[in-house]
Amino acid sequence: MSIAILGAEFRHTVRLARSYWLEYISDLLLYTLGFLLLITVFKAASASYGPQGYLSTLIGYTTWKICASILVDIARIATDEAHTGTLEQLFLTNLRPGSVFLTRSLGILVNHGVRGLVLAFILAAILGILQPVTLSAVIIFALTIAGACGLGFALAGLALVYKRIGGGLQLLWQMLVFFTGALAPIQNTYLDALSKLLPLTWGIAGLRAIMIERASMATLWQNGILIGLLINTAFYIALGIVLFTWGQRRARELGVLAHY
Amino acid sequence: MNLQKQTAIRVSQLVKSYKPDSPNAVDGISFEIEPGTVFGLLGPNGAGKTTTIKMILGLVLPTSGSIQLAGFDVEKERNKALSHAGVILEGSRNVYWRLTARANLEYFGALRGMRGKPLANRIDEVLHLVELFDRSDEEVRYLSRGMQQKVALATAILHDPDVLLLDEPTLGLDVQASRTMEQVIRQFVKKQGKTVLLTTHQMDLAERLSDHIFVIHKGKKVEEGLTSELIDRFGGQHETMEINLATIANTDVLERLIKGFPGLSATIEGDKTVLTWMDTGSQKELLNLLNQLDANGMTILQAGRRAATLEEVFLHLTSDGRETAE
Repeated sequence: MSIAILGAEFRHTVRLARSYWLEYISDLLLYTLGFLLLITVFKAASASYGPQGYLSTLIGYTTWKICASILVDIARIATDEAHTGTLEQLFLTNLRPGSVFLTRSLGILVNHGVRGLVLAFILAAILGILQPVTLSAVIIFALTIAGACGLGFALAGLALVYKRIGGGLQLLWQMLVFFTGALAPIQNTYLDALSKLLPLTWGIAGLRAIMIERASMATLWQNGILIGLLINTAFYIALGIVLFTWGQRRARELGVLAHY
Repeated sequence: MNLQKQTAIRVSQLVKSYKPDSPNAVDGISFEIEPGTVFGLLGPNGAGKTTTIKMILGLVLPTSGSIQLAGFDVEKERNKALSHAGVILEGSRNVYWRLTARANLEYFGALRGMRGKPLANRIDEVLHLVELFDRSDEEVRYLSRGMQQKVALATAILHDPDVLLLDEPTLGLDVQASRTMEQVIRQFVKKQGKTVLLTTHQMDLAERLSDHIFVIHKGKKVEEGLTSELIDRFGGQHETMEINLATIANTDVLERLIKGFPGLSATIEGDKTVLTWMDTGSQKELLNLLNQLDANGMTILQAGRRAATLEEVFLHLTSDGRETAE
């Protein structure tokens, strides 16, 4: 994979984004209104909910929005390309299909990452909760995104073979918002155990510890958050590689690459 | 890579079975395509043409058999093989409709490893070649069907491939767009010495362009040979009687005649009717037909035998009563 291909993929993403401008504006509005509604509800529910609560919610909400969007968009690369009729063309370049999907994923990552983070900083500035971004926070955020990408690739592999995965993606989207502690801490023991298996949970916990409690990486290692995140991310990346490799071979065996 | 001295595509004992309990989609076909030629892969719908092309490109994995493209084993060195191939797939949009023609070429060029000034120059060159330079900054979705297919063709030849695989490239195109496509293919082969594998249902196009014809039916080879030889071989055996009638014939009468004389077909040309009858059978049957035409008040302007066209040979070869060659 070269810089030129990455550049081409990024220009491709921006050009398509320009073509679907209304969808992008709606998404930004929904993101902003969703966050404002959340903090209004939380403030009405608890008198002690203040700037620290805003920051906690913003960290969870932004991490969920960016990572879940990246995950879903990567999972939908295959189905979207099949719909536009260009999926087979992506398999006809002299790059390996995995490389083409990877560059497309990086385009998606930059697209959602920039949009989500810029808006999060604007909201943080307006609410007076702007924090310095440390290297530790960047590392934890990157590991969280990597895990989400891994799951995205796994689902993309399934989508190459089974095509319609929209229902599953909807379910996953809801699970990621409600069962990862993105909005509020999870009290139930069973749900807490479930949340530890999902890709965003450890990352959100780590980011809150670093940005709110000023925890160091050593602290995160000691309290198990870092090791949990590393194992979780490694698992989803491995799952992504295995299922995507299987999916693209199986789709070619069945001759269903172009189907949708 | 110089393909002058090696086979452009070599397919050996290719089999594709999608389901164990269904007939094979492709059943043991073999062929070789020499460089600098147009190879027409012909067959009715469902014959296995698209599956064969997709197996050559590695988009569908064969059940058994081997494929070499530009000297590379497609199973083991697919990426190297694909770097020598340009493709237009049937029924597929092939390019992004929400992007301009130029943006599509920039994107697919980059995926092919092209960049900078050479890419920009090559894009201008292919846009001129397909007569689309003036419309290159319009989104593909606003272009006509013919122009969209020209964008697909420009994308296919952008990286100057040695082999072009075209699956129904003129499907749905008007005469003008179809002619441009034909000119580009001709130029690609005759002037540049490249190779084309073409599938089409337009037999006149296949006859004009193809040096070699391979007919496939129900996944099996039916016949193959040089186009002229194939027409001579089967056209000679199966001469066609053509009868021009002075008026547009009554539909009921025509239907009755077509039912009564197997192989007879009718077309209306202007205010006249043309009957064509391949494998006319015995002299007695021919006289019987002429008598029936006369009895139904149809004036015969002209009647005579002529050699069959590729279309007629194709219809004969792929008729269900005929056994496949292998």
